[in-house]
Amino acid sequence: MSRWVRYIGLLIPLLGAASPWHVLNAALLPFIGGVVYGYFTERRRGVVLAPLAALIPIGLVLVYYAAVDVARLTRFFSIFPLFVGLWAVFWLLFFTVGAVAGHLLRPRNR
Amino acid sequence: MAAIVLVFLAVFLIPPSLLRFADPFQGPLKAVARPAPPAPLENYALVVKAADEREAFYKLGYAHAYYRFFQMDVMRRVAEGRLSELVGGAALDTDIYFRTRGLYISAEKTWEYIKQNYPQYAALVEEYVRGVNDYLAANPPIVEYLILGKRPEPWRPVDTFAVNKLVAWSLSGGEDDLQLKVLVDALGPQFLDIALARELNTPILPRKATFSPAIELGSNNWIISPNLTATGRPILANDPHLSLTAPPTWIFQRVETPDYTVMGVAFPGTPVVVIGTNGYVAWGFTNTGVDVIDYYYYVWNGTKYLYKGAWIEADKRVERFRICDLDNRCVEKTVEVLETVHGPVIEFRGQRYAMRWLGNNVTLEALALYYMDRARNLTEFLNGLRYFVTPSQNTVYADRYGVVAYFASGYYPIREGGYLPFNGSRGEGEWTGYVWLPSVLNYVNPPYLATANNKVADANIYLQWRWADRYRHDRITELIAQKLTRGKITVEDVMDIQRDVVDISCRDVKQLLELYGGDSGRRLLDELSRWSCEMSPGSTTASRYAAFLYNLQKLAWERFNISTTFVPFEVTMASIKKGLIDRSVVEKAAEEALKVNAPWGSVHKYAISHLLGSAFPGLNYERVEAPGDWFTVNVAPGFNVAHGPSVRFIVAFGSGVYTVLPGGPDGDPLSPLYDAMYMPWVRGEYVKVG
Repeated sequence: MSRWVRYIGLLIPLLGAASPWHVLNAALLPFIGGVVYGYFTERRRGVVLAPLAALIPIGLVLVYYAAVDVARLTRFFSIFPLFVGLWAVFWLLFFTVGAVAGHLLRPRNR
Repeated sequence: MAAIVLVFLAVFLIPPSLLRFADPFQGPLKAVARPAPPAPLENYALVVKAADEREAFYKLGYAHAYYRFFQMDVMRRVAEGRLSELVGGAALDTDIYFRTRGLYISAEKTWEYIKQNYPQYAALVEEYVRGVNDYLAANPPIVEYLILGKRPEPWRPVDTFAVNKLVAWSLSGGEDDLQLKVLVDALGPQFLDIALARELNTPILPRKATFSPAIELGSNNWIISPNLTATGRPILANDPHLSLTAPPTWIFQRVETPDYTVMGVAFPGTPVVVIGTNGYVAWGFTNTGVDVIDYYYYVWNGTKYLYKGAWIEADKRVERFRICDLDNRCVEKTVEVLETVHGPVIEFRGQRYAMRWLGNNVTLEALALYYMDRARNLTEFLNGLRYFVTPSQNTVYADRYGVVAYFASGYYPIREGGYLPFNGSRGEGEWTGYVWLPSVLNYVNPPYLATANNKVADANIYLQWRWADRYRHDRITELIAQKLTRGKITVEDVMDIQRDVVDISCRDVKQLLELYGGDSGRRLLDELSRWSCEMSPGSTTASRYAAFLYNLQKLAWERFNISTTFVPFEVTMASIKKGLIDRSVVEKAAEEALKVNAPWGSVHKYAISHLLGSAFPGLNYERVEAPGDWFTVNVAPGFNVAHGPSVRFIVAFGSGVYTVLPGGPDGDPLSPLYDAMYMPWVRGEYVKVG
């Protein structure tokens, strides 16, 4: 069961859609998502893949905005690459750190 | 556990602005999800259809906010001296400049006056404001605010009038009198004679204008009369030259109500069409620049000043400024502003002056434009024009009945002089009354007439001295005359004129080089003699010619610490000819010009910026080759061109209405319409809008 529970961690950053707080949306939610992901990941190799896993919520957000208006999203990328880059780096970083922390918190006898 | 604590600590050490930028839900990325537009854009024009006027103003407010709210906010904040609340300390000097001059005070007075005396128009303004605020109430994702981390403040009626005051100020000449004093002090009264006479300039009106002192009451445009056009109906053309910004200064709108339909350009933040047509009449503006600002110096003793023999304590107002950074940390600064009987006290090069500006009174330009928007003939149009106080405009008029006319609009304060600061302590320079300029400066049914900020008329009183050089005006009339020799004028002819990039100042420059040039001057003259004077991007001679003009102005005037474009070129030439400026500058400028080996388009490009464009260059319009120069009809001054035709507008009765804006109708940078008209504007293309 734990193998599947970890995927809930990938969805946790998306809870920011309902939050007005930047600190939560940009850093804490991806971190918490990472903790859940790492905690329920049995093998160390799964934790190593955390940066790749973090691309999934990033991709889901992009799919949402593309569905809303792909032309505007494209223009956003061309005018504000800095913001897109910053967001991706934050989510990758905090998710990965969270995943490592979650894996370390994991009880040894599990 | 320690890792978790460390992460939480790190998160709180990150600047809030970075977290905002990286937030995909409440940060800038949120702006991708913009609500659908309230009013459609047809051919890049905002179209508002309404059952009555109140609904029309409401819808306009909503649509202006939807398409241009950030721009509206910046304009009101500049006028009210509150921009540093939004963008930080970089704007503080601008804020102090405008707050000191008190534009916001006159906007408040004007709004109070309109509420009391014109309640019907006040109600329409309130509808417009309600429309703006209804849009803002939904907290729309506007990308600039998401970047800056601020929430838009509600719009107030007085903000609309503050925008009007800002436009009026920007066209009123600022500190010209004080800068002229610098030159007169350095060069003597002979310079003043040259500047005031402006003998080389071409007046718009063929006859001398006579003002009666007893009266007590208070870019390019042209018109062609019906008998000279191919359709047999009048043509009116206008391309007002203003700062080029992203998004453009204007929004093009068409408002349809059961009583009237009016289309043309408006300033976002103000509901009325400024330059436009309603099917019955059409009108356009260029700035006359008549001098309606005076400066007064006094004998001071602390905060007391001597006025007509008595010591008077200057009034004081304390202005508080909030300067907020990207993390919304704000600091306050206060500035004490003194006011004399003449107006607010400013400092210029260490000297105190009080400033009196006509626009600091209650002025009713908005009401004037409202009446002009509804006018159906010349009489009704003039009834509207009567309310127009400042900035005085070369107003061209045409109507469906075949009447064409010219009026210099606005009021002019009667006083002795006005070009240099007055001794306020002695009571000099008091305004004794006002002249309604159209009563003196008018021309009904000329065969054709053009204005290009050049001298309105030779007059028996001083009107102003910084008339634009005559070249654009003379080129327009020259082209009209040329085209008439081949037949009647068509809309395409008028478009050709608006696109024209021949600089006829080259005729004067050749003479200057002949008279005062040395070896380099003769080499340059030889090259110019084989050139068509066309400032086209591919021409290296055009580059050299522009370099000559630039260097000549620089060598002549830079040592006085004034802008190189402050003194008109005709005055520079006259000053050189009279020996007030060392004639060797001609040869030196020619030497500099001959060093240039690049085509004009490689050194002369449009540089049209967004307010946040220095941090995010993607917000600016593309830098592309700019044809033209300071003196071409299609004007493009300087090397990084940020000033030019802010709209091209042609009304050809019986044929159509054509326009193009230097940018897009939509101020949202994520919209595909953000810069949709920019390249067509660069290429000189038009959109038919009616």
